[in-house]
Amino acid sequence: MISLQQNQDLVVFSDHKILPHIDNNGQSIYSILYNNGTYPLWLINKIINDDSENKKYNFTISSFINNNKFMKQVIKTSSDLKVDFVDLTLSLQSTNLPTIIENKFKHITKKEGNVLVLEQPELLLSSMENLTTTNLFQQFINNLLLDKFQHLIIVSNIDFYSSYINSFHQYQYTSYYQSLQYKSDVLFNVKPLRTGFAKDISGTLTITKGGADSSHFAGKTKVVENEYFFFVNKDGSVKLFY
Amino acid sequence: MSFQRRNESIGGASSVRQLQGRVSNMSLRDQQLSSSSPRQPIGRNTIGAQTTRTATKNLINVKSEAIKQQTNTILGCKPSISKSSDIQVTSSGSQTMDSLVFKMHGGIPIGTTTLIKDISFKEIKSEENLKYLSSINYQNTIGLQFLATGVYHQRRSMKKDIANDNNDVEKVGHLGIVIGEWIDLQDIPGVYISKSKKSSSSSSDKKKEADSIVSKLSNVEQKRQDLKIAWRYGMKNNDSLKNISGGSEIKEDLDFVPRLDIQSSVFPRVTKEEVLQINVLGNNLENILLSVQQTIVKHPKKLIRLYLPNFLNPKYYPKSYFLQPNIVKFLNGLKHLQSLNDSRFITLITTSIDLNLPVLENFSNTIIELKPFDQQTIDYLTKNYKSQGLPNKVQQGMLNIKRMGKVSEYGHMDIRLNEIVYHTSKNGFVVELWSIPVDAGEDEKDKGDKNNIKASKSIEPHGHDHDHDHSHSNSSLDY
Repeated sequence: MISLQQNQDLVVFSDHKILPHIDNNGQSIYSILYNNGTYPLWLINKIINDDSENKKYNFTISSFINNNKFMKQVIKTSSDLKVDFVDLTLSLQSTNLPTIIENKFKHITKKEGNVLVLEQPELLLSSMENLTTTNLFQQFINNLLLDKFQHLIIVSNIDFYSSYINSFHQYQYTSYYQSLQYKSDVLFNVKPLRTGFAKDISGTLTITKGGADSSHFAGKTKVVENEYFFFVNKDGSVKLFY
Repeated sequence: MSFQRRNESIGGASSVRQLQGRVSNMSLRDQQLSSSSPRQPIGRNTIGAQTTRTATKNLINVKSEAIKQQTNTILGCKPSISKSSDIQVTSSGSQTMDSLVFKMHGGIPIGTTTLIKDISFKEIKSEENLKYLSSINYQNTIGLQFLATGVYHQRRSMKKDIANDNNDVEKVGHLGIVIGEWIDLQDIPGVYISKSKKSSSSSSDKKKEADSIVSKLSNVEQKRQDLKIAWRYGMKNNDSLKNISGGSEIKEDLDFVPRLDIQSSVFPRVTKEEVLQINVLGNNLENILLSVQQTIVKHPKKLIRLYLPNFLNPKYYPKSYFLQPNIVKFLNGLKHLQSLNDSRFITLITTSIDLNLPVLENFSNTIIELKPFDQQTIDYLTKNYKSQGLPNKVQQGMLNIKRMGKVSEYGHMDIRLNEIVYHTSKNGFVVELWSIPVDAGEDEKDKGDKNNIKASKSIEPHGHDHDHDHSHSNSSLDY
């Protein structure tokens, strides 16, 4: 069955690019939303490795949930790519948001060509007392985009989303996902199969345009909205198909 | 590898560990200070944490290499059956759990957190189901078996005669840590003594017996009625066949998982050296984490089995525990500890869904859901299994796997829904593949069918189960 399906390339923009081509002052956000059980590691790897002009960028991988030991093991890049790892797991013990940027991203002085993969910043909503979504965006995510990074790939676990809001945290999480959808340029939704395990399909990947104004993309490229099936092989390689 | 080298590295590792213990102790105390007085400027703290991190990072590298040579000496560990990497696994305490739920590994991968959550609350609609609210028992059965396995291996490590193959190699046991004073350590089940040998030898006889019954039955003319019976037995036989074909994974391996009798209790009584109990009342999450850490440092070689029963259940945990920042910090610290000791630390957390904390799932490597059947299904199953003479076979609920440690992290999908059922028997917590029993309602056929529909509706079996069922029926028809 698997061999019959034709492998599709991951295409995000109409010019077959994955990462956006933006001018020097522009900025953009991708968000990857996933459920427990479909950790989109392959997608992060694909975005970093498969873009044809990826050598122009400096990648930084940061995660609030997985430490560097793990991330270095699983993020596989070709040797000529510039990839840096910043461990943010212990920042969950911190109680002050701006100091995280000051301490962890001190070494980044200019933003041109910098891409940050940021995993689960929403955990800060739980770990910091009385932190609201607005503050998280204003004091953390927007500041990262202001003078450190040009492009942000936010990886979030959508299991926190709840349609029945009955606590402060649930409200913050839910509004976080909503704002994320409005603020991102491209949304990647990685979902498992509803029926559970299958031998030849791992889940579905949906690529949609986010709510952000896309006029800053050079060359008037458009987001190609699409839905793929994906299958993660035992060796970690991934097949996309319709 | 020469012994000299091994000794060298062990010595090196222990000194490294002492150092590291001191370092990480400091950092934790530091964190504790800062979080207890939040107004303090935080810069010092984060920088402190950062420096300890970089300091420990180098140490970890040295350590992990050193430890890899030692893992072989920890009893009750074996390499994972997934060939991808050098993952070590240990038993969950239930043989069937190891082989079915942790199918990818053959046991709980060491260095992971397993979350078992009870989702009975969500399903409750009518009052008659209320008795299933107390399904905490299932969880605690697993937990106690989890601890008992640790005790078993610890006691084996103390025996001299085990080291018969090589006296120079030190046998390292396990240490259980249970957080919660409501767990009575006397409830930890003991090993199935003397009878175990008898029953294990007779189990193969039973299989033969079952085989012979089936072969006899298959000789009988193929009337419908007989076929139905043959199918019944065929199913049973198929299970045992699977046990055989499953080979090494289901075969009893007393070096890996003990045969437990949950009606007995372990004798002699569990000591502090075997299972450490940490109180919840009058304590807080930071101190709990600290004492777990100190225990790990104190026992630099043992495999640590941490068990958090009924985690954050309001019945046991005082109100002061329910601050999300503290919970996240605790889980974060636990994960960090686990990463530092990833060759000898496993955690089991049990909880119920009404404390719906996605954070808890987020920090767990394996998520298992227990979903009890509703009363209708139980009645249906009881009726059918009784008619087959298997009243003990009645399953209590579905076991769903939402995430699998050392599999899901790497992006592989291993969600298992409605495939596995569980029940507790005197052998403890038992899981098996789900298959709908033969409908026994001959004389009340209409009623039975109705029940059947209702039951299957409420269970929502999906395509794969049907596949299983077909395979069962097909293979039995061959006889």
